[in-house]
Formats: sequence, C-alpha cells, structure tokens
Amino acid sequence: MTGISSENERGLNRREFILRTCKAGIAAAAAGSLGYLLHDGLGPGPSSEAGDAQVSLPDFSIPGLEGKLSIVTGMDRVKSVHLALKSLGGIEAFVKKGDRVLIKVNAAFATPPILSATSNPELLGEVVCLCLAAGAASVVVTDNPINDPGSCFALTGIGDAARSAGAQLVFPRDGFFRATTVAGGTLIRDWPLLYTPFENVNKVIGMAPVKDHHRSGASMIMKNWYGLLGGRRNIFHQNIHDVIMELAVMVKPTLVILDGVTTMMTNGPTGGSLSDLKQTGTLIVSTDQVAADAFGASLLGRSIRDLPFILKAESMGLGTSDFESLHPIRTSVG
Amino acid sequence: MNHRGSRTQTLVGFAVLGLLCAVAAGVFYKQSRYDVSVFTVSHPAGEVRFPAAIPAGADNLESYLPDGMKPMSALEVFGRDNLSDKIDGKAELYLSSGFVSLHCRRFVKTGSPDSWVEMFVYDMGEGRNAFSVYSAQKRAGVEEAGMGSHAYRTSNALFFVHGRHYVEVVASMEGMSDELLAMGRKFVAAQRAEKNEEHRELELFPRQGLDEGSVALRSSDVFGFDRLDQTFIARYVLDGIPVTAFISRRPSAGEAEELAAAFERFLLEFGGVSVEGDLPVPGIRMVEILDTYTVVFSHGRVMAGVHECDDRRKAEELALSLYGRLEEVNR
Repeated sequence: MTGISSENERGLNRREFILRTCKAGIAAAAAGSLGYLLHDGLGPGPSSEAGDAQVSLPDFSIPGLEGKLSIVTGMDRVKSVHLALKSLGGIEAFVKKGDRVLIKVNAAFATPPILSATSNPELLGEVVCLCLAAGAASVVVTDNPINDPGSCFALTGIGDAARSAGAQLVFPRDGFFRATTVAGGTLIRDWPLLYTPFENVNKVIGMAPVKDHHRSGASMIMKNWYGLLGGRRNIFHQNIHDVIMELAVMVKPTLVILDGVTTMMTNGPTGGSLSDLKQTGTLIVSTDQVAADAFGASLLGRSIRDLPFILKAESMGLGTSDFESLHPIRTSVG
Repeated sequence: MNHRGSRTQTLVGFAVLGLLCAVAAGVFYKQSRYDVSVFTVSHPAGEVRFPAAIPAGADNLESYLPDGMKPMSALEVFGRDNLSDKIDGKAELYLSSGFVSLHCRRFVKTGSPDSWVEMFVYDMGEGRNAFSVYSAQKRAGVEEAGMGSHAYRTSNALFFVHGRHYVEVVASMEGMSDELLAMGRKFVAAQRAEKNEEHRELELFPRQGLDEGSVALRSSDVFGFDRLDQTFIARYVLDGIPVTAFISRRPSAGEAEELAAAFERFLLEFGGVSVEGDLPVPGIRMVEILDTYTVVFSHGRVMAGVHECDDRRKAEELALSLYGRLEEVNR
C-alpha cells in the first residue's frame, strides 16, 4: 500500500478540514488580490515614441459648408482645381487669413509621378499657392510613408513641389507620434498617430489620387488617412474596410481633393506600368469625403457596393454615398 | 491522528508550486516585454532608410546593369514580415503565394538623373508561385518581351518569370526599353541554372476560343471561395461571348470531387440556384447566380468548370469541351 492510499484511508477530522479549507481560501484570495493589483486593465500602452497622453484630432470641418461637392472634367489639374474651388465659393471660403493649413498627401511610394501612385506634385504646388494667396500663415505638407520617406518625397516630386510653392515639408519623426484611440473604434486603439504636424494647424486638406487597391478595392481620400498611422499598421490590412472607416472617423477634414485626372485602374496601389493607368480627366473637390470617394468609385468602374468602406463610413454619419444628393456642381475645363 | 503527508506528497507539492512559480515568472516577464515595435516609428526623420538586415552575400543586382547605368540607391531586402513596408496593400498578393524575399534597387542613367529604373526581384520559392503573381498582375494588350513564355513589356516596364523569381524592372519614364531589356536578359543569363516550370494544367485547356495570354494561376481564395486554391483560370471568347474556365489539380480524385461539391454548396449558400442540365458529364453541377451560370465537375484528380458566364449555352459548351479535353489527355 502506498503512502497516499494509507493517508486517504485515515481521513480528516472536522478541525483539520476547516483549517485546510481556510488555508486554501486565504491562498486563493491572496493570489486573486495579487493578480487584481498587478492587472493592467488598459493593456500595453504606447511606448515613449508614441507619447504618454492620448490625443485625438479636432474637427477641422467648417460649420455651414458641409456637403459641398464640385466635379470638374478636364486634363489640366491646375485649371481644374481653380474651377472647382471657384464653384464652391473660392479657396477663401475654406482658408482664411492667418489660417495654418496641413495638406495630407499620398507619398506612400518612392515612384515617379508618371505612375500616378502618389499625389500629383503639380496639383499640390497649386493648392499650396492658393492657400498662401488666401492668406494662410503657413502650409504644412506631410505623410508617413513606411519605407524610406526621404526617397518617397524626393522621387515623387512632392518634396520639391511643396517647398518651391512655399510649404513646409514635415517628415515623420519618432517624437511626432502620439497614441490615439478612435471613439467607438475597435482597431485604432492606443495606436501611434502622426500628431505633431497637426498641433498648430486649424485647417486640413486631404489630397489623394484615385487608385485600384489590392486589398480594399480602391485607395482614395479615406484610405489616404492610413498614412497618418505609425507602427506596424499593416496588421490592419486584415480588416481593411473597418480600418478605413475608423480613419474617416479619426480625421474630419476641411476639404478633400480627389485626383481622378489619371486613374490607376489595375495593379494598385503600387501600379508600375503606364498601362495600369487611364486618363479619366476628373477632379473632385468636396467637404464630404464619403461622397468624394463614392464618386471616385465610378472612375474605377466600381459601385459603392464593391467598396464596403464607403457604406461603413456612411453608416457612421461621416457623409453620404449618394453624391448626387449633394447636387454636385459640374463644370469642365475643356 | 497524524495527518502529515507522505514524502512523495511533499515532493509533488513542491514540484507543483515550483511549476506555478515558473509560470508566474514567465507571465510577468512576457507582459513587461510586449511588442514594442507596434508602437515604434522605426525610421529617423528625413533620412533615407533601408532595411537593416541585408543578408550576407545578397545579390546586390548591380551585375545586371547595362553600360551607362549606375546604382542610385542601396540594395533593399524585404521578407515576409516587412514586405508591406515596400509595396503596402499589394503585399497580400505575394504573401498568399509563397513569397520568400524581395531584393530591389534603383539605378540611374549616367548623366541623366531623371532617367532611372527600379529593379524588383521577388523570390517566390517555386516557379509555380512566381507564375501565380506574374499572371495575377499581367496587363492586357502588352508586347511579348522575347525572353521566354512568361515575359512582357509595356512602354515603361518589363515583367517576367524566371525560375522561382518574378522580376519587375520599372522605369521612371518611357523610352528606356533598351535598358530594361538588357537588365532582364542579364538576369536570365546569370540565373541560367533555373528554368521556367512547365505547368501541366496549361495543356488541359481546350484551344478553341482560348485567349492564350489570359491563363493565370490563382493561389488562394479563388472566386471568393476560401477552400479553392492553386487554380488555373483561362478566358475564352466563344461567338463573341466571354467565358472563363478553371482547372485545379487536387491531391486525389476523392478530394477533387469533394471540393466540387463544396464549391456548389458555397454558391448555393450565397443565393445560387441549382440548374438541371443534360450534359454527358458525370457528376456535373450547374448553379445560376446573379444571372450568370457556373458549372463545376471533377475528372480524376482535376476539379474543373466554367465560372459566371452570362450565357448558359456557352457555359455548357465550354464545360463539355473542357471535359472532352480532360478525357483526351487522360487516355
């Protein structure tokens, strides 16, 4: 007979049972209390690079100017943006004297402008000039291309265009990121946001080309805010439509400029061949980023049902996918 | 009564306590060292950044340069964990097709700083994977590059498969075809030990009405069905009507048949309706969905069919032709 068996045979008296039960209870309570004391209900917080305090971007939209949409057809981006803004009351309706403007471009890749994978430098330069002519105190141009920002801004022509037009080009730096959580969001939580460039601005303009995108179906205005995230943001690709919707919640711009003069119809978002491009000759300027993207979908030959992020953003009250309901002003530069 | 535990019990008790302590220490250690990289911006401001880990002996691509060109940037090497740093959302296409590594580098024409090219060499592990990403991105109406069966060029770029590599050479402007072709040919010559894999499935497609250049290999989630992978797709034009055929070789005849049945169920779950037909093809299934017709059947280890054809008769015609071809090849 083993020791354990003989022990079992002896049994416990009442006193010893209560004593052992109390000991076990105290041990369990101590372990539970220790776990409770050590538990971090917020989970891993941002690192020092992302700063200590949570931040969120203010609403940069202008009350009373919601739902404006201008669609200009033509191949000349400079003339088109002038005409589009004029039809919406001029750049002065959006940028006042002394305003500090941030333009979020798409500089995601170190590719030449002819591939249309990034914001068009000529269009950017003109918008910077317009803002400054309207009296803007400063114009900042920024993006956070994950790979090699120096090359991205240089080879796309965006860097030169911004500087020569009088804008300040802001490259992402480690200290420029702060942790942000999108209200009601499930993905962008305690996530590093390229925040410092926004700290002293009061107007934000989103500027992006219309592109096919392998994961989301399209990359336009709302997808372009992706470039404000830091960290290993590629993990969001598994929930691409949801994260685009959350990005649209995160940024409420003053104005958006969607460049569909040349559209990347296939093999986006990088493209690589001129044969991926189509001259669609359309520039969209709007205060409704959802409507702008909904119209942009048509340039790609897609419906909004092909691009779930548009309907998701609409369901969050961020704009309308029924861009016709905004009675867009349609003009042409011939 | 003496209720002290035996020596064995004491030892077991200490062993359990020791194990619990080790687990607690492990948890404490891990929770204090969470994945910092998630919150880290990994490049210094304004500086040109290159991935830190360039493997020793990595091909720096310089040997493929024609005369008159020189390096413009350092070699960049990307793996599965950071491919999206370079190509963003397109990384998924490569990752789902067996991607191993990407070597890329920019080169500039001497004396002409605006004339530059970037060479991308994707190691896809196997020729089949390389063909998959090549065919998935193949542009329409392009010019054959004269570098084998899987190579074409556009006005500013060259794309080809060589062995397990998929290669792109992209120019900053038009008019650099000579340089692009020279780089491509040098790459092929240097990697001559590798041969392009012949895909046996290609000969299974009937020739009549086939758009030869349209044959593509989809590695995963084919037609939105997550169980369907490694599927060759080909476009046909039959009496002016576009039709798409597909062929997927499976490990066994049983699996091919089971997958065909599963694909039918998938279509029915998404609103499809079974359609009765009288084609002399054993086990054939036809589903009408969104005003299109999809046909699927198995033949030995092959699952095959026609996908979303607007015209029922043409769908049946191609399905029958495909079955006939499979019979012919198997004889």
